[in-house]
Amino acid sequence: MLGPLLLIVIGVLFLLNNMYPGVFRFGKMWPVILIVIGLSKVFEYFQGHQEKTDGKKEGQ
Amino acid sequence: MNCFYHAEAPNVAFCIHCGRALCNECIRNVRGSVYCEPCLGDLIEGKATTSSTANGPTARKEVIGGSNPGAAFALGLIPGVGAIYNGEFVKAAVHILIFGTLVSLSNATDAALFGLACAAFYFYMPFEAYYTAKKRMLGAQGVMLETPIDRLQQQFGSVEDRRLWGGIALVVIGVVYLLGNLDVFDLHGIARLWPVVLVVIGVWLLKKHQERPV
Repeated sequence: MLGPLLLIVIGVLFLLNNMYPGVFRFGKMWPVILIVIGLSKVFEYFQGHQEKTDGKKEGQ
Repeated sequence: MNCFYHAEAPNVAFCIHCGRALCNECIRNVRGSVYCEPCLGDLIEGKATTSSTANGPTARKEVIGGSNPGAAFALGLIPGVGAIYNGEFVKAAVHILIFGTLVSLSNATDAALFGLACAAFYFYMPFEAYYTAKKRMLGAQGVMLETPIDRLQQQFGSVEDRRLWGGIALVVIGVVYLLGNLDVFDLHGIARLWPVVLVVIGVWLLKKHQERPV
């Protein structure tokens, strides 16, 4: 799930870099990649939790 | 390498009993050691101690393909190559990525933190490769080895906890750099605060130490 998301983010960053030079520079915006990776990890964590509790409810 | 049972899923661990690659769904964590379900079944039935030593090794040897711990260590001194030698290509890519990021960060900022992290990670890689090879070699002989790397990973809590806190750490680092790059605040001013990280890690380790049941 992370792979496609990363490609999209990096693609969009470079696209903005090319379309609006001076406003969005990849050299400035790269931390967005870190943020996206981090958010997807946190999201996976909560998704895993939800699946677990759902499974328990179904089990009962 | 992909999971032995799910060909489409990348492996996250190896069963320490049969050495097969396992994906997230297949791993069974027992007191910090990873097994696969068939091996656990065998162990519960009590077959393992007698029969697996008799018919196990032949099945295991073809999975392991003989990686030598010493060679793994030597090759591990070249970032990523130790993991490649062990056949862990995803891990190799991740190691190179982390190392490259740390190197470029230590060049970009004048904080000593990233230089320290660089050195630590550089020496972590060969040891990791060495213990992975050794663990698998001993695993083939039916000996379970708890390596210092395993113990280090246990320090960081369960896989899920690591996912949450790793994610939060990445978001925080990303936000700091983004705001710094957008000139919201001065990154160099913030960079002077880097020893705070060492203090935080120290406090966290102390807290961990206190929580541990005696």
